[in-house]
Amino acid sequence: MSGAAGDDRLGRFPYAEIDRAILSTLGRPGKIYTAILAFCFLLVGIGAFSWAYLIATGIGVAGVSNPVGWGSFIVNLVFWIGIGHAGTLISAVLFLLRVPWRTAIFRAAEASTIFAVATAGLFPLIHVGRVWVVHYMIPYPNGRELWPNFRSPLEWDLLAISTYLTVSAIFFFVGLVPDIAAARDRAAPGLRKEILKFASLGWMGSQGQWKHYLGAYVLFAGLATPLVVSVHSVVSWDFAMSVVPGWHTTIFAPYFVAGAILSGLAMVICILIPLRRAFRVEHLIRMYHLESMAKLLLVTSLVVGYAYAVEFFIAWYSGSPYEQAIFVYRPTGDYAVQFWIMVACNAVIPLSFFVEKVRTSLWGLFIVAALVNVGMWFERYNIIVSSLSHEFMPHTWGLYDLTIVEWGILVGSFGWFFLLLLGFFKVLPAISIAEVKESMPEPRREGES
Amino acid sequence: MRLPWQRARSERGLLGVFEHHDALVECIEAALESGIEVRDAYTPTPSHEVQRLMKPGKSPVRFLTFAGGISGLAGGLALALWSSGVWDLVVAGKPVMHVIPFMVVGFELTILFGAGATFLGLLVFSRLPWVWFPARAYREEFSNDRFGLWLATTRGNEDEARSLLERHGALSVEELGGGGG
Amino acid sequence: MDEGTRMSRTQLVEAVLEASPRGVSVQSRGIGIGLAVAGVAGIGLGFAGGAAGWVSLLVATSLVIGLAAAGVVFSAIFQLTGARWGRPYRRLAEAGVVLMPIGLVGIVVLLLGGQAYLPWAHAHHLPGGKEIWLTRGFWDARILLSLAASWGLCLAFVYYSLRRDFCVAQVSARFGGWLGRLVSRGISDPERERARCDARMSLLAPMLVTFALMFTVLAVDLVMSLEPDWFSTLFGGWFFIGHVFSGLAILGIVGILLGRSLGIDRFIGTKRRADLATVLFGFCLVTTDFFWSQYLTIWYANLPEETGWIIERTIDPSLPWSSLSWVTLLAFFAIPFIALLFRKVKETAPLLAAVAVVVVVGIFLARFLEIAPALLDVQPGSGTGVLALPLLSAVLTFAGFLGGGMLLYQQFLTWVPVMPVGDDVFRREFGEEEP
Repeated sequence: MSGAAGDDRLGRFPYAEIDRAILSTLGRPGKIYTAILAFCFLLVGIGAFSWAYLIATGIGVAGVSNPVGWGSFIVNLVFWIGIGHAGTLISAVLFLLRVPWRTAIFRAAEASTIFAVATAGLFPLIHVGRVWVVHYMIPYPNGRELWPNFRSPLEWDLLAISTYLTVSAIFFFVGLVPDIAAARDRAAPGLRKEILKFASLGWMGSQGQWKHYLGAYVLFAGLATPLVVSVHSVVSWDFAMSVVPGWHTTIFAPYFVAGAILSGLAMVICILIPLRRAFRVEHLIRMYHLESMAKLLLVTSLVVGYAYAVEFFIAWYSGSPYEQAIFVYRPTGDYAVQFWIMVACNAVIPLSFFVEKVRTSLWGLFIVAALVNVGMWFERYNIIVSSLSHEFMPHTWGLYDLTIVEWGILVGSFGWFFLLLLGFFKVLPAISIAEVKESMPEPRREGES
Repeated sequence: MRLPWQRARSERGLLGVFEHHDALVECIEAALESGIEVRDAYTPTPSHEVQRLMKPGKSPVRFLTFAGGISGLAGGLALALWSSGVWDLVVAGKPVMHVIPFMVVGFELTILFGAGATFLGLLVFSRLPWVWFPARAYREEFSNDRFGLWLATTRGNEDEARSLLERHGALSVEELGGGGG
Repeated sequence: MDEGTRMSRTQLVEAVLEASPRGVSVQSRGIGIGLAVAGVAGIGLGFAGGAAGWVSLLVATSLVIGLAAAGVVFSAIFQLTGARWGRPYRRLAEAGVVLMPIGLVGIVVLLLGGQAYLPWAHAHHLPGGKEIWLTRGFWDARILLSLAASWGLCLAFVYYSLRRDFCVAQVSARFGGWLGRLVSRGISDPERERARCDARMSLLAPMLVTFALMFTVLAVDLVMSLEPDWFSTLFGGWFFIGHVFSGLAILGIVGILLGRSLGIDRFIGTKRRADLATVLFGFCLVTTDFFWSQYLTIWYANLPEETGWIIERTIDPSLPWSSLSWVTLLAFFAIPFIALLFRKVKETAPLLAAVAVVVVVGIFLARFLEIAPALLDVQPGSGTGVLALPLLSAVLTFAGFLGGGMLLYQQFLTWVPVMPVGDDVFRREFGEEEP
């Protein structure tokens, strides 16, 4: 599929070794894994309790009010959807571009996409408060002939995110089928084997199956590529379609997409570095993979930095007093700290990846990527909260801060994401067996394995 | 009338297990040349050479994708336009029916239906799920590091097929008898 | 891997040298000169009609200064990504720098004549930062500096790319002209020099950053400021991506035309052409996305300071621009999108060339539509006939610029090897692996 067989930078291993190395990750969980899993459960518990409290007491326990009606819940929504973008980018876009370093990492990236979008999907439910009526957003025939407003970007959002979750899940599953078959064949007879038989859809690697599989895979990749761009563009249009200064600007769509890829890559790097160590697959997920991701992260960071600069420039150039006001408020006003964290973490610190030593050191990669994640959260906070708190009329200005309930839900979302991810890593192969094998030179009689 | 899988079960055949990919390819070429029917080949990874020899041409899944995409586009636009027309209300100063905001709806549903149709096409054309599993000739090592070649034989060419497999370095040659799994 | 037999290293170099043109044919020179003359006629025609001359110059110059750099952008992207499919296109892309002198001529004329057409040159008060940004001296300096910075980096990149090739022995023997001598000066240890040049190119490749800034400055200064009240944050990006898109299309056309006449079909075969077509399709989507992001955002919020510009060009039925805008959308989006879905189109050279031409027309019309309504005084109620003269003048001028570029391009290709023989990835693609 990738056409990169025999690329030395990927290492050379026999098929059997790849099978063994990857399937062995599905063994009994160790102490550290169990401890982290338990911690994630705790965080989810905190989040669930906070949400239950919010439903029982009312949305007022969150800090959202007038004028900042969109607060941390929307920040988290955009944050988690953004993180989901790296998986589809690596899976679909890099597949179409035949990039060789995609093979060992795309499974973990795709998994983080699915679970990030699943996490993000909770936030519209939390944000609206009255969870029991969210189904109003779904276009279904009802007694009062009520239909959602398709002219609203929020409705576009619903469609885009549901489409993204569905298509990513299908793409993810299709890619998993040959690997589930490998796990099935290596499993001892028993319940697990029967479940895997079911899940693998009877995959045998026959030529008829491969033919349609390959055809379908290219089509999925071709469909997922415009999807990944459109989803975060639609999310950005939640803001850009308004007239709010700092929100209404044409650059939002590509800017958000670049930012999403930036945060997604950062999260994937943060996940892969401990994963390769814990699963002892450092020979499959090599520095080459990590460094390539770091370079891509650098490119997207430059795009995001460019977008920051252009926004400021046009605000100055345009002469609109409201645009100018918001762009003075952001670096110098009540949320200046959040602004400067955003600029430092997203546009400045990643520049260190120009230095080879930094982008080839595990600590360097991890620290910069973690800081980018922090910076991207603050970017969404900066865009959403500062603009709403400082709109047109001075007498409407007001402040916002997260309440303890919102903090609880925020940490709960991280717990939820990592819980799902960790669960996945122990149930299904975190690295694509079939594709990594395909990227190795085929076993030849002259003994090149 | 015998159904496809019933027909398959009564065929005679030989299964050659190979360790090396190039051996498999050469064996397939030789088999095709000598007129022995190559029933199927099992590989742990997709092999372009084997695909070219055995299943040339493009998969028809793309036609389903196209159909799904078009229906998504039309359906999305239709839904949005029709539902806006039900109440004829001007919301936020936007015209009641205008294609510009509804393009986004149409686009998303194009992708959704296109992907769904592709998945359906994959299942249908590759005859997943489960219908053929496990085929008589399938062995578990074919998802690990072995390649399988299933030759359908008649009483006449069985010896020829066996020697063909052995000549090209098959690790083992197994008889798949007729009648029953 | 491309079709065609693989050769040994020496055979590869020889094949490239054989394919490299020795001279420019009288025919091609004739076409180039003919186009250049048409260009002059076009400018004359434009000025005869009033401000249309400035429109033509602006459209043609803004396109050419972008195209001059677009080729190097591709080469730099190949350098950074290590992509294999595009290597045979590298030299053809880098040769685009010959458009620089032509673009420079256009810019100089535009700067000298600024007072005649710049709407803000005589304005008394410009709101906001425009008071400072749009002042003559600053404006001129900015344009020249951004061109100097980005073109300078382009030329440095191309210098090292050529020098890397001239480290191969047979190359310097064959290309002894002034350019060959310039780039091969002081090569003592060819193998080490080759590696050094490669390292320099990798260092320079991130200069793509300056392109983003350069294109934004030029987009704002040359095009967006023509209607000083309007602004769009994505305009610089839109400008940039349109140039890269049309630059890729032209690269495809050049590859097809030269493939036949120079016999480089063994390097740029069906598969590689199809790869370029796929990337072209990708850029079609991105360009359309950038257009749509602006259009949808401005349409939706319906703010008068933003919508005027759009309405004038795309919706207003009393003005002739709207029909042209439909043609533009068709040309840069609908036709390439639908056509490039088909494998047949991607693999058949004449069909791909036709699609590429449509793309270039689309981006040309986009520039025309951005610039012309700002400078031409078209009365409401005029039919589309009033566009005939300005459009014809603009087309001829652009053709003239391209004709001049064609002359220089073909001459350039006689001075350097037509394929990047010094490029390791190129060698591995077509030559035997080193033992």
